[in-house]
Amino acid sequence: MSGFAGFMIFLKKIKLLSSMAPAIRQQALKLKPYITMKDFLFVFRNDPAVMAGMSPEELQTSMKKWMDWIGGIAAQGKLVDRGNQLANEGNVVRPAKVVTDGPYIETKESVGGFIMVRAESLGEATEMAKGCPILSAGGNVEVRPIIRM
Amino acid sequence: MKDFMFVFRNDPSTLADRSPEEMQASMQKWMDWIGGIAAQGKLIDRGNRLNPAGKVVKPLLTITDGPYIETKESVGGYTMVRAESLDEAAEMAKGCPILLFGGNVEVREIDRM
Repeated sequence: MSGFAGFMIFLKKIKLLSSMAPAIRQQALKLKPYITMKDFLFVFRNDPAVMAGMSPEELQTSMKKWMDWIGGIAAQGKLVDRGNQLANEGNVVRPAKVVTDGPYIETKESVGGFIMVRAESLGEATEMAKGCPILSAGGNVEVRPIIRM
Repeated sequence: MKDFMFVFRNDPSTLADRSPEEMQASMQKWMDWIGGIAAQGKLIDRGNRLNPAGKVVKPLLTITDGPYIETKESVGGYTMVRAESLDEAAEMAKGCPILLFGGNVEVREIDRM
């Protein structure tokens, strides 16, 4: 008799588990992006003179556009690191330990900052980069997959 | 103390040509260099290496394949450190093993927002 009761409990458990199956499946689908997604670095390049030439109002408008764009990525849960802006001054250390002043190569394409995002593919990350306000100020965005070490 | 970003640039093909032993020796040099910075409490973010694949999005939403500009000076990774000055940060960068393989390190102060 107790064997039969045990069997009935077993059956109930099976029934409960199978009734939960759609919920488990749904949860797994929700988590899937976090398993398959990769991280990408956006490297922003622009001419520092463009920002220096902006009025306080223009700067504020530009800042608002950046916040909207980055906020949109964050709202989708795809912002890994909001990154930083880099100051204009800098040095380059080269082989034989030669140090040159000033940021890299032509100032028209100096690295101005970076952020890290999460996306399914390089294609999706590139689509996200298309919304970056730097593009309307003559700058550009390099999109690179991160190698986790 | 201020925060600085080291941007590493090199020719990705120099990495591709290496034997497993050379790779291991190089990795050891990187670990020693970064470990030395960390031991001084000056490592903020050990950063990441970047995959050589990539795209560049330009104004008018033009997209070009591949990493930026000449592949001989492609950004290969970055690290974030803390130093008193730009000069101190540049001194720290002088120990970077990338310099032994024809690469270079750009040192830039971080503007906290």
